[in-house]
Order: sequence, then C-alpha cells, then structure tokens
Amino acid sequence: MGLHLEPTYWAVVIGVAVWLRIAPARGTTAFGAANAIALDLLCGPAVAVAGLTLATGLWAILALANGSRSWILNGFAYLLPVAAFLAYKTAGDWEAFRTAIPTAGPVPDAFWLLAALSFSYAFLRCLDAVRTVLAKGSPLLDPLGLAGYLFPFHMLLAGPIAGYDEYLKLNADGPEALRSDRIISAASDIATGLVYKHVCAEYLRVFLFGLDSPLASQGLIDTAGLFVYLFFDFAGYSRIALGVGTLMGVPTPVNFRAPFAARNVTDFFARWHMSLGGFVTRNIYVPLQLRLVRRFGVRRSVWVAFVSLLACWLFVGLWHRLSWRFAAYGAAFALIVWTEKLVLDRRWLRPARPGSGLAYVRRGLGMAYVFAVVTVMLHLVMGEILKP
Amino acid sequence: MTTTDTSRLTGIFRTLFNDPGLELQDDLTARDVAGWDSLNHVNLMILIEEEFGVRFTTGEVSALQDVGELKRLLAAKTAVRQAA
Repeated sequence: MGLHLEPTYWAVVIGVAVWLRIAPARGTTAFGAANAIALDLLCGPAVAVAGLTLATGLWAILALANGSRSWILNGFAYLLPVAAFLAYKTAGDWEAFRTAIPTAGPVPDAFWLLAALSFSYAFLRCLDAVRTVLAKGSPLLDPLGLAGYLFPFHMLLAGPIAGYDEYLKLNADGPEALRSDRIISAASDIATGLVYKHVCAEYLRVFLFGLDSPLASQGLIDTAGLFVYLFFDFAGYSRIALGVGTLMGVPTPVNFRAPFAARNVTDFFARWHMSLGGFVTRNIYVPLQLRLVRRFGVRRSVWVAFVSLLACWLFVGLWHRLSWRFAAYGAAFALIVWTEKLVLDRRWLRPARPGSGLAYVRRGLGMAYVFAVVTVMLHLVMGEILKP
Repeated sequence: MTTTDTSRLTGIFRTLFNDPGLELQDDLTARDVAGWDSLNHVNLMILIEEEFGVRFTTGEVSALQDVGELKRLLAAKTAVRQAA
C-alpha cells in the first residue's frame, strides 16, 4: 500500500480540501463528486464507475423502501448487500471458488472491482446506511453523496468505518473551517500515521521476516511480532485517514486509542479498530440486547448478554473470513469478553486504590494478559490471515 | 425536567451503578462512571423506561452522549406521554 507515498494522492487531498470549502453544492454531494474524480485518478475509471453504479443501485432500493411499509422492500434493502457480501467473500475465501474465478466469464472483473473498492468495508457502510435511513428515519442522500459515503478514497483500503449519521454532519455543519489548530492536528495525525506505517511497521517486517520474504508465522513468537506489526500498519493507515479527513473536513472516526495499554480484552476492543466496534454496537449489540432485556428483564441481563455478544463476535469473525476457524475465533472472543464481564460485574476482583502499588501491578498484569490472549487467538487464525 | 423527575433519575443511576453519592451533572458521560459499559447502558435505559413509562428506540439508545442529552430526551418523551 504505497498510495500515501505518491504525490498524486496528496495533490488530490489538497484539491478536495479546497473544493469542499468553495463548492456551491451540499457538503455530501460536493464530496461525492470530488471522491469520484479521486477514485478515477488513484484507482482508475473502472473503479470509479463501479463505485458510482453500486451506490446508485443502493440509492434506488432505499428510495423505494424509504417510507414504504412493505416488509418485502425493506427486507430486500437489507438482504441485497448481505447477499452481495456473501458472494464476494465466498469467491475470495473459499479455495474452490477462488481457483474457479479466473475462468468464470465476467465474474473475475466484478470480483476484482469489488476487491479494489474494499467491498468488506463498503458492505458495513451499506448496512449502516440502510439501517439508519429505514429504521431511524435519517435522510437519504443523493446517489453522488451516497457514493462518497460508501467508497471514500481516504478510507477505502482499510477503513475506518464512519457512521452514516456522522457523515450527514457534512450537510448540517459543512466542512469545518481550516483554522491553524486543525491544520496542525491534521499534520500531526498524518505524520504520526506515516511513521507508524512506513517506518515502524516496515522496519518490524524487515527485521522479523527479511527484506523480500512474505509474512509468515512458525510459532507464537512470530505471531506476537505480527500482532505488533499489524498494529503499526493498521493504526498508521487509520491515523493518516484521520488526518486527511480533518484536512478535508470529512467526518472520519478515530480507530485506535493505545490498545496495548488495555487492562482486559473488553477494554482492548474498545481501543482496537474502534469504528468496527462502534458499528457492531450500534447495529447488532444494542438492538438485540434491548430486545432480550425487555423480554427477560434486567436481572437476567448478564446471562442474555452472552447471546448478544455471541451474535456480535460471530459477525466479526465471519466478516474477516468466511470459515469455521474464524467462526470459532469469534465465538471464543465472545466467551472471553462475557467471562470478563461476569468477573468484573460480580466484583470478584476488588478494585485497587488508584496510585497504589497493587494498582500498578494489576495494570501491568492486565496488559500482559491482553497481549497473551490476543496473540494466542491471532495464532489460531494466522494461517488463514496470511493466505493470499 | 422537574426536580422530582431528576431525583427519580438520580435514584436509578445510584442503584444501578452502586454509587450512593453519584450526582447527575449534564456533562456526565459513561467514561466518568465505573461500570457504565454497553451492557449497563442498555439496563439503564430499560430501568428508565420502566420507571417513567416511556419507550426508547434503538437509535436513541445508541446515540446518547451524556446525561444532559438523556435528560432532554426523557423530558421530551414524558411531555408527549402527558399530552397524550
């Protein structure tokens, strides 16, 4: 991913930042138009056209379903992105399909266009848009604005996943004025991200695996190294996106907040890939848990939370890869997070006095526990993560 | 919100989070209260629903940022309920 090292990328960023402050159109429409040009310049016309076509398709379905009481139309609006995602993941994740793709008529082109648009991330934005428009009644954007939300060039490769409601603020408030403090904050995020991604992650990769060798894991120590590498690579990318978003005035969420300082696994996932956690909380956990607690009562909330957590974590596991191993990975994390909840909620662990020696020891032990647990869990799926 | 409603709301917070000294400032957020995680957030909203006879949507539950917003939302819902 050398995109950030190309002058064209930064010329596009500056161009969009200026355009959004002078454009006569609504914020989201102006960004959608600029984003289509950015995709054309950075990824090619086919990718830009594919993005606009998909967004227009989703817009048409939402326009039909919005305000309609037909459960068929509403169900279709949810099911279509899910079906497209399942087809895309099956084609990419299942060996038999992956090897058959190159000979399957027009399928290869469609698959590679979806891959170029990072459809896994766009799928989550599709769901967020569908749910926010149909269930919450938020306004439906025009196709251009929707395309800018679904396929934002600065968050295209690996997120973060902005909420649809957050993106709508671009219309309500407009892009924030480029004051000196915002420019400094954006520059700081971009510089930190570039150092994370192109210095720390790259140095670690070369140190661990050699200059031209592919990433590999022979054991837990390698996986621990890969875990740290993943952090610098992913957090670096997200931090650059955050800085670019600030510069352009496009709502872009924070994705990482010192995850290695987490005290437990639950806390870790409140700091790692936070925008995915936010998506899952908004769209799966809260609706399901509300329904279950209303049905079974607050007294049983901890017990029914296992069902909600299991649903969330199975989704997260299978979103990464459609496989039994990733389903088991998700289920195991659900069990870990739920067990932590039980331990903390029942106060089996008395809180230590802040600033005391015991508090520091606990903090250190907690961080070591989180690192060990996540490393072991990553090791279980590392073979699949490293598959081409 | 009336003073009585505020004290009823405070009572729910104090019982749920096991903190008899908790005061509901408008800028109070989940980060400021030990135990206010996503599970207890849902419990909190259900307890408020039961106490005040209102109903929150999923979007409202997810979007709340601080106690001030909760008070305003609750005041709007109780006003609608009383008017009906």
